[in-house]
Amino acid sequence: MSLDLVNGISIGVVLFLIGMFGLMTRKNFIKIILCVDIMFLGLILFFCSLGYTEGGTAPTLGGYSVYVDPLPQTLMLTTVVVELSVTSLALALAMKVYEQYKTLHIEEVTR
Amino acid sequence: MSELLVGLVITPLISAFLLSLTAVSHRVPHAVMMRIRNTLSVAALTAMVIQLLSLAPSVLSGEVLTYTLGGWTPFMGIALRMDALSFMMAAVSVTVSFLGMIYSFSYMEHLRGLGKYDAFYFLMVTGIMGVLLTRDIFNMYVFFEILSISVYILITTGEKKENYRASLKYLILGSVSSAFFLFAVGITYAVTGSLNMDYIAQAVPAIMGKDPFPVYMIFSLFLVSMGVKSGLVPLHFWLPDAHSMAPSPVSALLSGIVLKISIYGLLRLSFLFGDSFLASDRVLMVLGVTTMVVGSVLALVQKDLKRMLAYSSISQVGLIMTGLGIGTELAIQGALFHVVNHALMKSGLFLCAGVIIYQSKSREISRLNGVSPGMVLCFVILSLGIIGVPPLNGFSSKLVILYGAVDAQYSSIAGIIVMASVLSCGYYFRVVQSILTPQKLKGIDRPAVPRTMRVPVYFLTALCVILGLFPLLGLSAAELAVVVGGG
Repeated sequence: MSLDLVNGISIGVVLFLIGMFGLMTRKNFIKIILCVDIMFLGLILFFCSLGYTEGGTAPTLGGYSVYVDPLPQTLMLTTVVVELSVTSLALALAMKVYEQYKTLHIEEVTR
Repeated sequence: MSELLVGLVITPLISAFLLSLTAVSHRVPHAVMMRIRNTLSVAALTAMVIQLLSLAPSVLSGEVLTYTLGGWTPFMGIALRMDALSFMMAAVSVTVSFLGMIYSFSYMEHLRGLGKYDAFYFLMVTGIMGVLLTRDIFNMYVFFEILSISVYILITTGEKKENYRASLKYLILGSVSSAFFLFAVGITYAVTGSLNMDYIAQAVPAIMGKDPFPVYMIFSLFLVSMGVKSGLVPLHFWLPDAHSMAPSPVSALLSGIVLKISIYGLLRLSFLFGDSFLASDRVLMVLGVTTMVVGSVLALVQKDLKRMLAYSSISQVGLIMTGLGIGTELAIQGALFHVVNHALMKSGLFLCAGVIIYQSKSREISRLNGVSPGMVLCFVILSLGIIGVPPLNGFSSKLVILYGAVDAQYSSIAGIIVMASVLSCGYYFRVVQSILTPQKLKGIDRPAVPRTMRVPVYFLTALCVILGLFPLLGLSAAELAVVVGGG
């Protein structure tokens, strides 16, 4: 494998797929929520790497010629906030489910 | 004029904020607080109705209104746009959410939990209006998340114990769907360099000519994402739980509007890839037919009234997807008209089911009785509408879809649609039979139904009958939506 295959984009996609694999195989609600988290982390890395240019600087006022694309990074600020609220809501719901069923195993809860 | 587009998104957002202030513990008596909340919600929804009505003449004459937020150029900034398609969906959404809010004044009285319900109800309306109006696909993702998060919370406000489980299940699948959506947005930005739908639609033909693989990938990611949210069959298993555990007004909005919003999203996004993308390879048609048949068969075996209605929704979504998948202009018109009709009928049925369950104190189909005659009449009319009996609105839209299917040489599909309608007779008549069976236990006093719960059901039934008697009202709107909304 050549070195230029290892960059933010490919690692982001691999993280996304790891999250999806975990989502399909894990049986514990907390682990499933963490896997959703990992999927989103992969996406955030993927997006931020989209705007990267070799040797670029932040596009502030003046004094640069090569700059990185700031748009994906601003979008990811929103995604981080959204994802934080989804995760906290999911964990709160998991707590409520545990109070009712005394277990977090997905097959015992849905039975 | 186009400044009103911002108002449509901002009004529910501000009222959600104000309603959340009433959730803080306070020294004001409960009854006064209740009155403040009710007045505030009615005022906000009335304001939205007025805004929509003042936009109506120009939109319905075929004009497209655009507003760029903050004056940024559309290439970088966010644009809001309203054409006939989004106007049609917005009008139905505002109508149904207004009636749902009035219904929940008395239905949710003991469950409302210090203004939490109202605040998230309005956040949900914000999400709906945002998805309908935005022209920026990342913005669409954000509004979808606002919509979904408020729906997850609204499901938990019900009285059933299993609703936390149902909400968690929906949350996990909804987040996966959002992740797919975001992934597709990322690839779109990488290949086209813009997030605005107009620029993407311009850039797509050149990319298709050079290398079609990214476009196929984007489209399939969008299809899976919207498929999860609208309950296409291999991805539908969260839907019956979530829709039946939620309190009845929320179920009505979930089945009536939120499912249709994801269908709207799919339609809007597929327009980006050229007109014929929906019909290519017949993927959507096959998925739609499968959904329709599986939903109908599973609805037949349900014992719980609201679960049965949820499976019936799956089947109807299948019918709409089949209409979109056939892909001729006539079939898409029929599908859009059916979106409107199903939104009105199914929310009416869920509200009606709420009253029936309230009166007979049971959710099991075999034990429903003692329902007041007006509600029985509404339930019969609405279920006949879903089955597709002639003077009602379900008939006219089904007929247009059938006509489109035969017209496009898919006679077997038309046969399956008719068969699914016959199956739906099976599960709706079972409920009607159970309601109409004479009451065995005398002497139990049945709770009287408050007026705020009866009026929305009557109103929706009347709308269904009117649209059934004058189908051209809806059909001309759907035609305009296909002609203007495309692209």
